[in-house]
Amino acid sequence: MKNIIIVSVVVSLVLIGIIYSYVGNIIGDDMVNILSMLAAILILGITVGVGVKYVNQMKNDTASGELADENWDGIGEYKNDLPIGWAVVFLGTIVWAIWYWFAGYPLWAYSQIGEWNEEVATHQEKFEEKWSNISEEDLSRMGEAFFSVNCAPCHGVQGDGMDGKAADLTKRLDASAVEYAIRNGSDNHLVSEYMSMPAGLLWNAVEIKQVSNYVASGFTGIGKDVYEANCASCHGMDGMGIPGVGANIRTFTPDLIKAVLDNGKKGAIGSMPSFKGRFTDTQEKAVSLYIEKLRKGEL
Amino acid sequence: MGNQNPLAYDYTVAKWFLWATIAFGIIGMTVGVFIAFQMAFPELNYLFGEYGTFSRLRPLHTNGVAFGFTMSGIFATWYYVGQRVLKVSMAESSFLMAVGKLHFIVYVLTILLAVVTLLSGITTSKEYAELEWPLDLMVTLFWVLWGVSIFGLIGIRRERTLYISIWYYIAAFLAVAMLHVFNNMEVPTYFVAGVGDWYHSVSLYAGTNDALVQWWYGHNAVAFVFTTPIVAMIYYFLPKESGQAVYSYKLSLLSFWGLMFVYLWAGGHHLIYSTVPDWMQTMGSVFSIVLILPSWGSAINMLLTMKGEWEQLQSNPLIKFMVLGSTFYMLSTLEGPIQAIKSVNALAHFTDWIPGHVHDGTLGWVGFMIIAAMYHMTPRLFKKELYSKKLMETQFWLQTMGIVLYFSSMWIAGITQGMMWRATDEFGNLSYSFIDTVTVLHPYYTIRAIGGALYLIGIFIWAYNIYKTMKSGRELEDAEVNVNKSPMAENR
Repeated sequence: MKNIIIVSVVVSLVLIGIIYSYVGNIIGDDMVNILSMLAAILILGITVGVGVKYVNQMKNDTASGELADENWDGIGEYKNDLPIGWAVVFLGTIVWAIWYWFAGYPLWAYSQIGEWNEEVATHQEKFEEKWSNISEEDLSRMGEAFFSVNCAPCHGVQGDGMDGKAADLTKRLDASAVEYAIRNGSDNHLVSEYMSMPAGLLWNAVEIKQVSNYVASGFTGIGKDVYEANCASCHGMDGMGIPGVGANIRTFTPDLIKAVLDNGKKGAIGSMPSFKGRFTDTQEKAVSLYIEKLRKGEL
Repeated sequence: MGNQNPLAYDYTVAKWFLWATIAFGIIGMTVGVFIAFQMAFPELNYLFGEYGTFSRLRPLHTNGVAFGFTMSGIFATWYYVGQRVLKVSMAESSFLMAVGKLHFIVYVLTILLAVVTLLSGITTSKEYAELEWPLDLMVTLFWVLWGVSIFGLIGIRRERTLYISIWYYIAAFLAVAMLHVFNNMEVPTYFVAGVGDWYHSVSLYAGTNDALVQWWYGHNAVAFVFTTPIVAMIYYFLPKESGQAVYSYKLSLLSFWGLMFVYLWAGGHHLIYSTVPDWMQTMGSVFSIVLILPSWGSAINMLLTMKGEWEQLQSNPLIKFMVLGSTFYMLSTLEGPIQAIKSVNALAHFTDWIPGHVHDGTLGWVGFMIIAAMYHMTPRLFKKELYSKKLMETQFWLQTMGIVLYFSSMWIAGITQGMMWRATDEFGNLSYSFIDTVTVLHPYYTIRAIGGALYLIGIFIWAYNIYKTMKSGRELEDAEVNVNKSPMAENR
């Protein structure tokens, strides 16, 4: 029992040391991390510190004071005053509480969503500033990291759509996607709503099959005639699209990726939700480049 | 000091509850240790079919230790302390005696049915309020019986002024009654809509409201099962065992009313950064901080009661349990509020830091206090000398080591996990996936389970020591019983 103070101090220090060895390199300048680490130190420090004070009183002080008249089963009570430190800190917390409610974070005005919006806006602004002159290499790494966190959960780490769970991004379009667009129409919000592709431009099943395979296989094969007669006027002879008229259906473009992120996408597989407002321009540019590289097999 | 004019106190019901405390302690903590090993080694989930899975056993653990072990301990001490500080014997009222016995029977039946239904997967799925409506009615019944016992005994008391412990028992009774009724407002689906089994129900509240009521209940169950009745115990057993007068009446008064006023607001801190209105989250967070001082008040009052009594702390293992218990009470009542600060909660919520915090309180404070109380009561209940002091010492150090392993592993695991979840790369993308954290945490889950196992071994030592006391402890004379320090075999 004698060494209990030394033991508890050592245990506390070792504990904080081990925690720090794990998180030292990820604490960074994140206020929540810093405050939490401080919290851990304070909890142990205050408890051990106050504990030591009372252990010393057990060792060196003696009980004293005026006893109350009552006595319960042999237990008496002193009429001692409040410990002054305790009383002062109690009052302090009450004053702090009143400040918090009425001045610091007023009960009628503080909003966590408002705070979140402000924090995100500030962060996005800083982010754009920091990467305003981003190098090709950084852009490429940013795209990869972005993809693995935001896209890979559905499209797969390889971008292959995980057996049809989501669109296969290693190619621009597969045959079922082309067929779906021809039968149901398609709107990527890249052109005005009157210019978007209506349903039923082709109705012959054989022709639809042929042109779908032609587009999906990288503009090779027997659907070439059907394509040139029916599709090329908007999408271009080479499928690279015509600005303001028809989308590029041969490669991924930053415009297209941004449009899909903003509006979501409904296709043969199902629906992708909108991610509007979640990402900065630099992030969208980075992931566009990354997805196009995926398609070209450059990764 | 001792009792000048000993009454013939009747400890029948206290004895029954003492056995229940030991039995439910063993069951609840064995399950706890087992599921702790499951967290580290998931294959252990498949040993007993559906009945051995973590999801079935976890409610059994929480209900077993909170409503089995702790509550039995509370009732056992009530039927002991109540008579003594009110200076009235249960034997004086055959009505109160009958109420006490019925209280025990309904209680044990409820808890046994709870074990059966929880194992069968019959649950409302509200944390710490898993029991279905028929059992909730039984809980209400035994709770009312306890109330009759409390106020009945107070009604026929000889001691004019109520001792501090009595305030805390009354607080526990009133608050849990209110919490239990409001959080278990259930609609029995079969009787209302002809849907589902007859015992099945759904909550009367929906969505955010349900969450709010649930955590108002959940947090205050901690307050009025794990705090106030345990404070009632320490205010009796520590001064009694040490023969010291309580340090300050004023401090006990201010701490009591402070706790009563502040605690009921704090539940909202379980729902920080959720859909609960901002002002309620703020109240929960801020009142949690204010709560530190009323909590510490009781602990400080007890530690100051021991002023100048270092000798006793070194020589009496019961005093060790209680003094370290109040220190762990200080640790966890500082830890909880700090975790309730919004900025810290942003990291701590959903991490292992939280179960770490809970067990600082339950193992270090609740467990130690109940262990000490039962040890103190045993020689008085059975007029036998405690079987072995050495076993008590061994138990104390084993369990202390267990708690240290438990809480340090959960601190390391929790804080690491929280920071890994938040960590981002230079582009602001999350750095780790969930499985990365699991890999890092695995050794600490193992250490936690070992810590729990050490504590459980201590519980078995405790049960054995009390059993041996009853079986083969030295018989005591009245004069030997009516002393402060519990009689214990010094050389064994």
